Amino acid sequence: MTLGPLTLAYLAIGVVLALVTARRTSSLLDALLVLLAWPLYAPTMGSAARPTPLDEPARMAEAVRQALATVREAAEGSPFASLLGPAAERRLLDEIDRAAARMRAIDAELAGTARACAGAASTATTAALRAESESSLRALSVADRAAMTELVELLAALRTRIVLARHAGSSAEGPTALVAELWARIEGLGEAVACTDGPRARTPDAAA
Amino acid sequence: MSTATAPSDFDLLLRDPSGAARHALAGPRPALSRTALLALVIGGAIYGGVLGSYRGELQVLYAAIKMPLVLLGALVVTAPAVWSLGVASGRTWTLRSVAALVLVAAGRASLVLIALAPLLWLAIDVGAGYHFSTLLATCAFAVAGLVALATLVRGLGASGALTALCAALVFLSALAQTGWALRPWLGRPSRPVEIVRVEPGVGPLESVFASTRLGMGDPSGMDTEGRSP
Repeated sequence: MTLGPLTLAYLAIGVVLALVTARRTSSLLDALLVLLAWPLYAPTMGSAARPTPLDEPARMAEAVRQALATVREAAEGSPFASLLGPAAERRLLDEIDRAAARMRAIDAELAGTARACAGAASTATTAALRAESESSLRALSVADRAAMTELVELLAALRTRIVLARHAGSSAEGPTALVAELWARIEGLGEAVACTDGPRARTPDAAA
Repeated sequence: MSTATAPSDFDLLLRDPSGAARHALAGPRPALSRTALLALVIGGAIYGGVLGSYRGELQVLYAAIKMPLVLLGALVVTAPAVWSLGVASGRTWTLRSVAALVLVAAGRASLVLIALAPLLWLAIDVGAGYHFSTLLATCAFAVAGLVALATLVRGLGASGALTALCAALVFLSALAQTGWALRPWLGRPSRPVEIVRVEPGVGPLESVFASTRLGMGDPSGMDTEGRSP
């Protein structure tokens, strides 16, 4: 096949996919990009048309993100905006992503172990070892989930404190103490994997 | 007093390559892919235009149109290759997430090309020769390629470094072939402006060696079109 027919075939597929994209997303830009680079761009567009349900770790991470957004919104334009600067926010989101990924990996490991062991005969020692490992993994998973839930609650409390401080003119001590507590929880979240990831440095603007 | 705002997809691509790579591989984020693809198209067009400015006239437009096409052509081959290599090595990456990651890596490399384009333009403007300009353009591509590779490794993790290296080889082969097929890029002043040169020439690899030799001032051997001095 020479370049001419190949280009025509590429464009023909692109036109069809661009029309489908335009109908689904109502975005001319997306349709044009699909026409130009459908083998690369079309796969990444799938979620726009049919959202994939989030798994539990992703839902928890999203809840923390939303809680953080409400804190940012409450602090905007006030002296409290510097409490969680861009670098600190990025660090926090990174830790949340790591925790969600770890929870997902642990869930997958537990599910895989359960499948592998179903119906398999094993010695008492092996079974005890496996049960101990599974128990540790479950404990880690439960701790991660609890930490994520606490983070959401802490961020909600921080937002309330900031709103109170802004409108009632109370001191900045309340929000500052809560931010310190927030970082302690974030550190706690990171410590679970510190043995594998190595020590983490505190974010410079965390103490602000 | 600083006001904290959520980083936009462009900020993520420009300032936080690790975050961008992680987001691309972790979950569906079409806006990030769109930003990366736009950066690739615009960055490629700007860099292509600067290459074509060596010859000037319509060569600027031709090179600006061809460069994003060449980059996309090479990436279209690279994304499935990364995915296949990942699946073969037991990873659970989806084609969607790998395509998004490849786009992010290429988008970031295109931003580097945009950053380096003024240097190349300056060199051309102050009278750099054809082969020296080709050599400079190749170096800029190499820097952008290393940035893309680093982004890919950040997304795939240290254990995916071998996959990223293999992907880089696939990308380089595809880029060299498509780039050579759609030459000229700089365009020699002695030749008429042409959108695609039909003569076979010496091939992509040999042309880089010939340009390096000629750019360093050694006139021995054949030129990039296979002609003896």
